[in-house]
Amino acid sequence: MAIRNLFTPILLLAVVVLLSFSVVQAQESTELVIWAEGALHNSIETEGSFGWTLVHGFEEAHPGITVRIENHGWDEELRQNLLTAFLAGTAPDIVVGEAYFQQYADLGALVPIDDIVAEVGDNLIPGTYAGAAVGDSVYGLSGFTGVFGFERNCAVVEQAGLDCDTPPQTWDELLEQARQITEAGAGDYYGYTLQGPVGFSIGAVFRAYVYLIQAGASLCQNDCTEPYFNDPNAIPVYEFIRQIHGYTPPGLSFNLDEGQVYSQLFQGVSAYQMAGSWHVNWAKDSGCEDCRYSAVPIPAGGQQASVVVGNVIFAILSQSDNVEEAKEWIRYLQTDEVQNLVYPTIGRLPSTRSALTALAEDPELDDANKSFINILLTSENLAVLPQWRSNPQLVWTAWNDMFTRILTTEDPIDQILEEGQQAALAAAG
Amino acid sequence: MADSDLILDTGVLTRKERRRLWRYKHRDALVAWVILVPVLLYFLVFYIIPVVLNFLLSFTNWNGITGQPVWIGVENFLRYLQPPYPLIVFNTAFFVFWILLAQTVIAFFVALLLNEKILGRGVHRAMWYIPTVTSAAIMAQMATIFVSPYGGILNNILQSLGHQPVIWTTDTNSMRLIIIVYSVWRGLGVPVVLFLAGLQGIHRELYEAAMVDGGRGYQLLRYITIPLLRPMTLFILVTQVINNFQIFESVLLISEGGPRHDTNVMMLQIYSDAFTNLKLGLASSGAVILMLILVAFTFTTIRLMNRQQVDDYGT
Repeated sequence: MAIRNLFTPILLLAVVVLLSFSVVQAQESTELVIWAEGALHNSIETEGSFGWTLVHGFEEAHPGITVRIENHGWDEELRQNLLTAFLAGTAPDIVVGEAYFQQYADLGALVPIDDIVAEVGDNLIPGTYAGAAVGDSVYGLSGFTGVFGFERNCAVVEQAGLDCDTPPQTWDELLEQARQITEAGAGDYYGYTLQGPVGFSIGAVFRAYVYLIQAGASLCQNDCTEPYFNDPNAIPVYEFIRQIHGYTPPGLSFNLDEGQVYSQLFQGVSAYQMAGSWHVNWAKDSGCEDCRYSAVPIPAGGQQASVVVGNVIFAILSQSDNVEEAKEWIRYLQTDEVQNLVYPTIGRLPSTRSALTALAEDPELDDANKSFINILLTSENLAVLPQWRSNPQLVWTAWNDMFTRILTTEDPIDQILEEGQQAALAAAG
Repeated sequence: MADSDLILDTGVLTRKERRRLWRYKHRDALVAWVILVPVLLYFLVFYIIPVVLNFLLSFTNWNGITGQPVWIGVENFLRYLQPPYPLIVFNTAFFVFWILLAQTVIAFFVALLLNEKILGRGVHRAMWYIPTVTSAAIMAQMATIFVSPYGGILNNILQSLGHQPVIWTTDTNSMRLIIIVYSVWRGLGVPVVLFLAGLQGIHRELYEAAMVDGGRGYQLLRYITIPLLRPMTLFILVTQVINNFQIFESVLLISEGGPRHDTNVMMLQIYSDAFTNLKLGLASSGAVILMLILVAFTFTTIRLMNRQQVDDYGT
């Protein structure tokens, strides 16, 4: 009979299905699950490296705790995976991030770690954890960091007849040199590279924000929870950016590929650009034989300032069942034993004062990285990009649209900023 | 004595006998249900329940991370009446219309050509399908090589002809055209294959009979090919509308919805609302609106085509 013949296989199938949902084996130790990004994750297997030490060094110091590092991407990919994990109840104990922690902290998704900050606060650079600070509480600390500086291709500068040993110190000098280089280049090379706006990406605003901070302008108000795109102090900033855009390779600013935008300097197509600290190795790998670095030129009457970027912050999720163990890991992350491994093993800059100072005193360190470290250690105005609590995608789209109009039209800047502010407020809801 | 003899002799069935008789009479149905249940369970768990939950979520406000969904009625749907959502819905419909029109017409004529007996016909057919099966990210990267404002192929051609380069990414019409061309190029393979299948289902005798009666070229196309391809055309229209309304990768990878939301589409905004803006209720309402549009279109199209068929054949 057909039914009788099917009974046994169906019963076996049911048993298999039930077994697959059986209770998970009892754990003998606590496992910390950490979502890290590529640089750390890729260094786990190399003994003595940053990632390896974070895992094995921590486990040795904390018997009974095992660490599992996973790579779930960065930026959009990471946030997509994180939200999915939250919904599925499989979120990790610790997660990395840079530009979304304030939003998550506001929602109660992160654990405050003020106790850790109180212990190690003197050794921290405030700009490196400002991105995870909400109100009086801090919700994450940086594992490694970066900052914006000023990059120049001396082959292009000298080809235009200028002295590369004295980079421009002010906006006026930068404009004048960019003009001279562009005229000398006659279409073969240009004075500056400017990353323009694309969709809702924040690459352009990251760099523009450096100039805004230098001029004492802001993009946000009310404890940086609301857009403030029509700050009157921003008008001369955008006028400067509009002017210098005229000395960039035609069309490059609106290229969709950020890597291609900045690599033009390495190829000798432009002379100057804003650069993150990771540009040092990138330039070498791209064949730039004489790329040098300095502080970003400042406006007349302005202040030396920069923006923290490439800053990988680690935060503990409130869903975690192992909060105290996770805090131990965050503490361990701040030790010299770990921080001193950041630069030699993954080529990024450490986040603590002691590690940065020790690195700066290394006689073998190149001048480029010394320049970036100096900015981190001495800058009194180390800012972080605003993080919108509501509709960040729509708000940044509003800024990109505003910036596009600044670069592609001759409309009055104050009018553009006013309309941009209205659009941003509407987007923020 | 066999059980059946006992039944016939006494005329009264025991409970066990009744059950056995019932199973015997319905043996085919029981086997079918045993086979179908796992599939139906899968469909229920991974399709029906998520759709129902999504519908319910669309009436709530929830970030997906903390707290519980809070009922807010139709607020999320009303949000779609405020900027930039009407523009986003318009963009989606705009892309669907032009992509569908171009794809259907081009695919039809390509299928006509591929239906002819030519040398290397198999290779030609495969080549038309390659963009469809290639990764969207790779295809989008190839598209940006053409349209990149700096160093792009199109601008290099313009500059070599003495023109200034065009900043395509800041021009609404240009970006919309680029996305339409890219989407048509990438999605042409499926309707071509379907039209080809439809063409090969038309008996050659019909053409021969028509030619005997004096029919030629365009007349064969107009009076035989097109009418007999109507069912396949309907299928292509419905499936491609559903597919094109879900346009996502091309916009994300080529324009990110810019400039000024002028190429932003519903799927991209649903994605952004969910994962960047952390508004799961709003994202769900977008998905519900999209579903209602597609259901309405599908239903209307099928009714129109059936009515046309009744007019043509009288049944």
